[in-house]
Amino acid sequence: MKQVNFDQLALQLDEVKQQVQTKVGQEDANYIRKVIVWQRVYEWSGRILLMLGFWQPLLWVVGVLSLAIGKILDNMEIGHNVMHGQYDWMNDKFINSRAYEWDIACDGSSWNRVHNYEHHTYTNIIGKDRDFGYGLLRLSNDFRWRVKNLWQFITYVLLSVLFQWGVSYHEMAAERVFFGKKKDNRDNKVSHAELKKRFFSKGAKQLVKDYIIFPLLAGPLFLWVFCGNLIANLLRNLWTSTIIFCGHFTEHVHTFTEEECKNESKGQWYYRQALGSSNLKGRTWFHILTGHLSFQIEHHLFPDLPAKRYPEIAPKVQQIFQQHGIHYNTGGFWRQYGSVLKRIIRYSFP
Amino acid sequence: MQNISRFISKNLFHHKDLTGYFEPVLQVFKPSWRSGYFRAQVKSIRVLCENALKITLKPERKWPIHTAGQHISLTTEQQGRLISRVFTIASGAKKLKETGLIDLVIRTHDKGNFTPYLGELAMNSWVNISEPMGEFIFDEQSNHTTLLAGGSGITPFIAMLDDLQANTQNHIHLLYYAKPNGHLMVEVLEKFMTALPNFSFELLHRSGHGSFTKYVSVEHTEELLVCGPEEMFVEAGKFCKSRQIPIRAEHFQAIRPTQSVNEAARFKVKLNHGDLEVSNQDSLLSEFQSHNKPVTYGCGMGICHQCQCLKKKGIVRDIRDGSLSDNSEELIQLCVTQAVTDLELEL
Repeated sequence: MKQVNFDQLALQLDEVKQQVQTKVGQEDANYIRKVIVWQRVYEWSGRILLMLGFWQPLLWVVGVLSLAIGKILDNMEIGHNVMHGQYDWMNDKFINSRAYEWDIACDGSSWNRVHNYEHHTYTNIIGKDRDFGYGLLRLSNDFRWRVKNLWQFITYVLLSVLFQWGVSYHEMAAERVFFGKKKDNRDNKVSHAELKKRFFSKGAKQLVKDYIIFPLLAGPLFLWVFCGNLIANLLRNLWTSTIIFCGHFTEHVHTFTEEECKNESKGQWYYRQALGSSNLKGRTWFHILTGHLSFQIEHHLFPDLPAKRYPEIAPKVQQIFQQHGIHYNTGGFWRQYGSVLKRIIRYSFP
Repeated sequence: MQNISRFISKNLFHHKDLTGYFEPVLQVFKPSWRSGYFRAQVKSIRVLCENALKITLKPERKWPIHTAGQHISLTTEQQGRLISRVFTIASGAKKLKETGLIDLVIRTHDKGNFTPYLGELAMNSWVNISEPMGEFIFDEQSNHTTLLAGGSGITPFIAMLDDLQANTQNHIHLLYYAKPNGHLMVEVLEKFMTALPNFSFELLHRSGHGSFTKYVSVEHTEELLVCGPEEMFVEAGKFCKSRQIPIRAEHFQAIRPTQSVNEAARFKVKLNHGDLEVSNQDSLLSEFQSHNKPVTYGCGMGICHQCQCLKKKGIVRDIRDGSLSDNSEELIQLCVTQAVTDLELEL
């Protein structure tokens, strides 16, 4: 690791967090409730408009987009952030990390266990953070090149299209659960049987809901609703996958070895989070639709601060990084996404 | 029907009940509407003395009528955070039927997390209340009843007296202990004395008058009703046992840190599967691990929320910034909290 005054870095970033924490309150509670209201509005407008497609096909298109926005809000700004514990302090019976379950194929508690623990604690440590490349893509020289990497761009496209299923499969460490792949020092906090049950149960619920119950409720408009749900899910999958890839797999994102991170101090942990993430510039609506993961750096530094506070702290974080000579990886969507694609293609080859 | 609704809600909307899924939407039209709670509108707030308030609430129509002596859980949103406390209703059912209102008399604590903010509640704003709870109610069959109140423990007795008919045959004597000049609602007690010929009361304070035992007429007490702090409750229990007087009691116990957090101490932790004793010098997670309690954990630094559990009661300290939690129900992370009082946790 680079020579940075890690103790000072930790002190400065802790101070930023504390400053914001004193402000967290009514405004944040009102905000998340407002987002939930808008999510319900988009979702239900979408579902109703899908059925009006037989009368005016344009309404069906609007319905698909509306439902997709509803699903994106549920997944990103509400589900991801609430399940991170960002709103646990509200003591709300439903808006908390224990109770909230999102509207995607991945079981919330499985995600919570793997994402919140493995990914956020061991961010970009090769061998410990399974999210780096999701075990499918070779995105650095830390991994040995294999022939299958030659077509990893196609694998990436397929993963994006089926992202909710990919996440579900990945979070349960399916290669271990289904195929018995061994890993040293593996700590099974949940039994394989339980993981399988959750995987199939949540996945089945999503399939039945979107492709049987809602289409059946539409009666003769079964296909309109079936296709609308399919496309809305596809749009949500593509969006979330793209945003998440931009947060961790841009060109300048670093990886770390287990050796480097042994006995890591708080300051070193912050440093790793900083170099393991990248931000996206954009307007307010864009940040909301990304669940504020466009501020991936701030999210990784302070994962349980309400995400709407990230834009407020970003300039302070950037200033602290500058003072310590740490690269603050940010850029416009197309630039960052371009560098993700470049990275996927670059490491397709030895 | 409820089961079908729950099934649909769980499988289609991923919520325990449908009302939870629509709650934020319903709140747009009905402020403070919450699944599992009743709403009540703040109708007046009156300062009774330096540290006591009388809050008059108008519960929504479907709220069940209470019996004098019962209590409710009052929930308010303070800085976005829902906080609940239990208070005895200080008015009778008669008043509720006639006016639709109930009174709460609340002792405020300057450094508390709840009561200092009650005075700031806006007129006609909405709060949440539970259904009336408790079995501390008046037995009208008794002929001689002694009431023993301590501090704000006067409230259930005010409600009971409020509901009594003027022709009651029960001879009631109230012994009311409070700090000198700290007796609440004395003018109301005086009115009761005029309206109820068989009612009398004495205002007492511990330092000047000593124990209540010398004021209880054993031969004229068929039943003793006690509402006050823990110590009063314990003393009354012993007294009644020795004199074979039936007793019914409601006591309140303010949970506060008893000593500096730097001073080593041990506290009891009640869990959903067995109890244990922990030190306040280490995190709850380390303490649980040293007692071989099976507990899920992850990062050990308060990031991943894997060791999160529900604290039902008690106060914990956040190791990261030294802040103390509230005493009410909330989610905590075991790896970054230490016990400051006895706790009740749901792992």
